[in-house]
Amino acid sequence: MAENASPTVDAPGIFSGPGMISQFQEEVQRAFLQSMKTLEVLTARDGANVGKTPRDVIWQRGTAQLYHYRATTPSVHPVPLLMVHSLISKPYILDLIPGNSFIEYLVAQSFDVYMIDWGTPRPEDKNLRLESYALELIPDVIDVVLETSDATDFSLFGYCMGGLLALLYATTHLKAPLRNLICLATPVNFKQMGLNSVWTDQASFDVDKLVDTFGNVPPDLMQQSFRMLKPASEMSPIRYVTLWQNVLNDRYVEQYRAFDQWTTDHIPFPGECFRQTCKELMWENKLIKGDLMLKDRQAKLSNITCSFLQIAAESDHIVPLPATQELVELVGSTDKELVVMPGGHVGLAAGRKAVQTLWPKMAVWLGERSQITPRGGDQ
Amino acid sequence: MAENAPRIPTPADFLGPWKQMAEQAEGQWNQYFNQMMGTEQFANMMGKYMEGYLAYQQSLGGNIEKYMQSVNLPTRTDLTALGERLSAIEAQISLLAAEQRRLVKRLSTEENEGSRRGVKASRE
Repeated sequence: MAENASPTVDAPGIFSGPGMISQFQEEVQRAFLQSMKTLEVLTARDGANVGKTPRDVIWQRGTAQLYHYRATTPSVHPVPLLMVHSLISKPYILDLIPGNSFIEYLVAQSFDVYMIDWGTPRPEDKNLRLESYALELIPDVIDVVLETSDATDFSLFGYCMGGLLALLYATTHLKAPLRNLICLATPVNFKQMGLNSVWTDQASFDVDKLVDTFGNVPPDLMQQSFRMLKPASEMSPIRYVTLWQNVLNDRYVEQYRAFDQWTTDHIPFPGECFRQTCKELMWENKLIKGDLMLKDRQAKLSNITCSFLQIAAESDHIVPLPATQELVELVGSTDKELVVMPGGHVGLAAGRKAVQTLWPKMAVWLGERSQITPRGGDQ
Repeated sequence: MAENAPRIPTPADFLGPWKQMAEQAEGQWNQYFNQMMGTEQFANMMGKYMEGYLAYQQSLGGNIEKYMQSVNLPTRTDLTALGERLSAIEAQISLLAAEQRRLVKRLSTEENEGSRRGVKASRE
């Protein structure tokens, strides 16, 4: 530091003088402190402070729960927003930590926010299929949302496979009062899923044996398959070095712990749903062809006519851009938009760029399509 | 001037360039592994490994099931079946609760409409 520079030293960068010694001591002490704190963070047993936006559980079935987030503004948009999360991971990525939570942001922007948390599927949930979600659970939840908000229509938001479930609902409920649909990193062209398409190829992957053996697909298996998409990054020390560099910044540590916890916090994938996804979507690519049938309903993307916003990530290694970008062309809406963001899959939900640009963009888009009216003090 | 003042090198001086290089190398290794793992041969190898692993799991599960039966304890299958029955009951209760909510709402709407009609009639 400049104030510690010794006046007796006349050439910069020379290791001499009393100022240098104290600087060196400071650096050593700091490095030691950083190392101890890094070790502390990496071996911490208590969970990160995730999913803290105040909410009420207003519906429950099996492991699934519906959260209603408490309003923090005097008035809210009259069109409630229902968020549908993926079946692979836990939904707290959308409500990561106070100050970096998409849900907290939406609530602060006067949205009446609900979220379905599918919970951790139990062995008896192995028979759940895409129909169970799109034709039974989501419609029931929407009834509760409309009733609770006393609203006539609603908006739907889906992240990753949650986006797929939202799409399946929207394509099979043509008379639903769905005003807006937002899909974040949602796969539709399953032949473009990169390595996942290769690994689950019909010729080499026995999905029946997997589901018949385990019932639900174990979370470890799902996690390993995601890790294998970027094997060098899994082994790389860069993230530990970055942690070491920033470990004295409490905010950084809090975020690191929350992200780290989420990336290893996978849940079992309901077996029949996995079998169906693999056979009908990965192998036969039925959604994009418009051939997917859920019971007697045809899930055609052109059936979607509400306002539609699609967000994709340029460097998404889980849902690559070619697997998602066609969606906007296939939906039947006239008011539709595709936003491609720099960054990866998780960064879309809670990355720095998402916080700075994507969240405000989504809030403006949705706000314009969800008329504001003052509400009574019951919120 | 502060920027010309002598200073000892800090870890950041080394880590910055090192991280750049490491990130570049990481990207190249990921690309290499992805090419290697994106082949049909690799998919077949993974399929074979999975087949073996599942066969082992099936045999392990079968043996444990037999053992549990022999010591007269409930097996995983028994517990899952019980769980399925409980889930079905839960689902039925949820449906009943939803139906009850709908009925209560309809009744209160009808009551309100009735009282409004009454008020209107009394004014006519």
